[in-house]
Amino acid sequence: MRFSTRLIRTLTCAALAVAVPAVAAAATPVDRTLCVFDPSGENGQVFNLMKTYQLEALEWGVKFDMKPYTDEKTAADDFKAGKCHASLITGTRLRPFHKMGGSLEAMGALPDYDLLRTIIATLALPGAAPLNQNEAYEIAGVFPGGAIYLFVDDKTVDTVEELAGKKIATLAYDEASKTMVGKVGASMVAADVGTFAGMFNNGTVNAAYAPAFAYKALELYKGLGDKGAVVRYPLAQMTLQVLIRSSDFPDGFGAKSRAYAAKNFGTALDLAKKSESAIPAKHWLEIPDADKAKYDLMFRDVRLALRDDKGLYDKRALSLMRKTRCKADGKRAECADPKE
Amino acid sequence: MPSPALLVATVTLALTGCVNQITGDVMSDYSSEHLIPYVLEHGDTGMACETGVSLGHFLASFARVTDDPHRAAIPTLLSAGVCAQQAAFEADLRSRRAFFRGIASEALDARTEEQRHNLIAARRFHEAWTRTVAQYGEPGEKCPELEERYDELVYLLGLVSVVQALQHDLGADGEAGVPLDAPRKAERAATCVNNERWWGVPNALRAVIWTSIPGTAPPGADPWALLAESSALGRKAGVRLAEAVEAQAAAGAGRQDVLEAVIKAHADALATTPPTARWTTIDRIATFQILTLSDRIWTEAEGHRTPFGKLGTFPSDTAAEPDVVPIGDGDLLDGLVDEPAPPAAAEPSAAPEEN
Repeated sequence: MRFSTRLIRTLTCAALAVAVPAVAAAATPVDRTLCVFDPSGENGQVFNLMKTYQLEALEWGVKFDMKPYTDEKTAADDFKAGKCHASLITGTRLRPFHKMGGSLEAMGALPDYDLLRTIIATLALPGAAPLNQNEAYEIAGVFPGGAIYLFVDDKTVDTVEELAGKKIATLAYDEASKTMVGKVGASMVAADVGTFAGMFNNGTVNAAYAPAFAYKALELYKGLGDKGAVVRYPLAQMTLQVLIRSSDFPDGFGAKSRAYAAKNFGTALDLAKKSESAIPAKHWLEIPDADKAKYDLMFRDVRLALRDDKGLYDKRALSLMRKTRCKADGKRAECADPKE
Repeated sequence: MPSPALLVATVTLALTGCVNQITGDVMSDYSSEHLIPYVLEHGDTGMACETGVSLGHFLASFARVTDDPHRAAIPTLLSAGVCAQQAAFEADLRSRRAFFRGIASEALDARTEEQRHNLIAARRFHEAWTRTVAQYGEPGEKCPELEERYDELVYLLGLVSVVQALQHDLGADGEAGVPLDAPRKAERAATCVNNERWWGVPNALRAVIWTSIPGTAPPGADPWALLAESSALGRKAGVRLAEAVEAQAAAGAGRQDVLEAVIKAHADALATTPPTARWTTIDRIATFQILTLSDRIWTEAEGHRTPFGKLGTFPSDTAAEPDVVPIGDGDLLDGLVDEPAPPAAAEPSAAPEEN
């Protein structure tokens, strides 16, 4: 009897000895590095937004060491080189890693924020998990970064036709924009994030595209002067996406992170909207609805070309966005003749 | 015959007394005519409370050489009280956070800290009230003669002070000795101030006293309706102090539905209507008090205060995911997720081209 009591006690202790470290391990978050692109670095709005994300991630079993990057290419390169387990970069920049994620910034695909909100919420559904996965890479959340607008130095240039022959500062790594510029017959002037604003402000180019944030932060109002305008019809939606290597993260991390991003869509969007409200009415150029329909068709042609000819856009992403547009407004011409 | 030295000393002392007296009168007038209106307009509640703390004794000390400067001291003491109140609120939140995490010792420590700050706040607010009584007389059957609009404001602030004083003293186990009948007197006195001119605050004060002290409400009176009406007046005026009073009343009475509705209404009003410039600081003090009540709700449910920029939302909303638009049953995904994933996107070797 005494033996059996001792045995039970010994076995219990042994079981506890095994179980306790296991529980402790489960409760201890894993250390990971998150490389965050923010043009303003550690003091920028995006980095600030991610500080809250960092705290939430603790709940999902990950303790992030966040590193600010003012140069997006370096952030992407460091992710590629394995120096970051995760990175927060724009959709266009992550396209080579994840075509679906990159396609969310497709030209003219999401002309308003409600559509983007629906897309992000849909991609956060458990059923959308396969869309977020691309072999080793996974999109673990999408935040709105603000619509991209066309800044022109002459507000009388208010139709696509009139853009022909104009010089447009174009980001060299952005294949989609290069195609678009070619499509409208404008002339592309290669630029990068650090140079395009100067080119627009000193008159080297007639037009540039950027989120509203750039109006004040990069002083694009100087290039607009009295005659220029910001065309109020989004060319694309800039997104900030959390890109991870799934194998580096606990099971279910991506899903939880995507749900968090979807839930906090409004917080991130407020930042973009504040930038838009800082642009005075005199600098906005409204586009008539009839012209918007023309833009929409042109955008679609460009998207199809980029999908079919250049393999740049993901078919499923374009389809999802087309369905979302048609769900919001079934009268759109494309809904009767879906090509996406 | 007095010696020349004694004569000089006597004259010097007399002159010094005169100078002090004149300085005191000038400071008192300057405070009520310029300093306090400036502070009320500026909008920085932190600076307002620090001004109250740093200048309170200086102003009050002129009572030693001239008339007691009650009219300047009352708003100053109220400001200083707000400082102690903020500290008490912070300690309360710390206590709630510790409780949320189940750390009893820290919760108790924070609770003690809160009580200490409550005592300081109660004393400051109470002194503002006793000076109100000294300046304008004991509230009774007759209303005092409030000669200037500034006097009306000071009288009203005195009434606000006594309600706050009792509340904090109750939180300090009555250590400050605020008389329990003071709110009843304040309730009567509140009828002496024009309700519409002062953004519904006088009636809101009466109603909050009705909700917290049994038997004070006139027959047939509906304190909650009066509070709502007062808040609406404040919103219209762009000085939403009555909403803070209504929120305090709701929190005190355990009316969570009213509390959440007031917090939401306040947040909505802030988004659409800027404060009236002249009274910006008062409006922001109201926001601070409402934010604190919101912080308590959040802390109890989530262990942290109201997320930044999210005043007007509640933890219970989070469960309903208000930020996620209705997307039906995910039918947008039909036909998309069954398709095989496309070939691996260009391996990052092809990644980021230039720049």
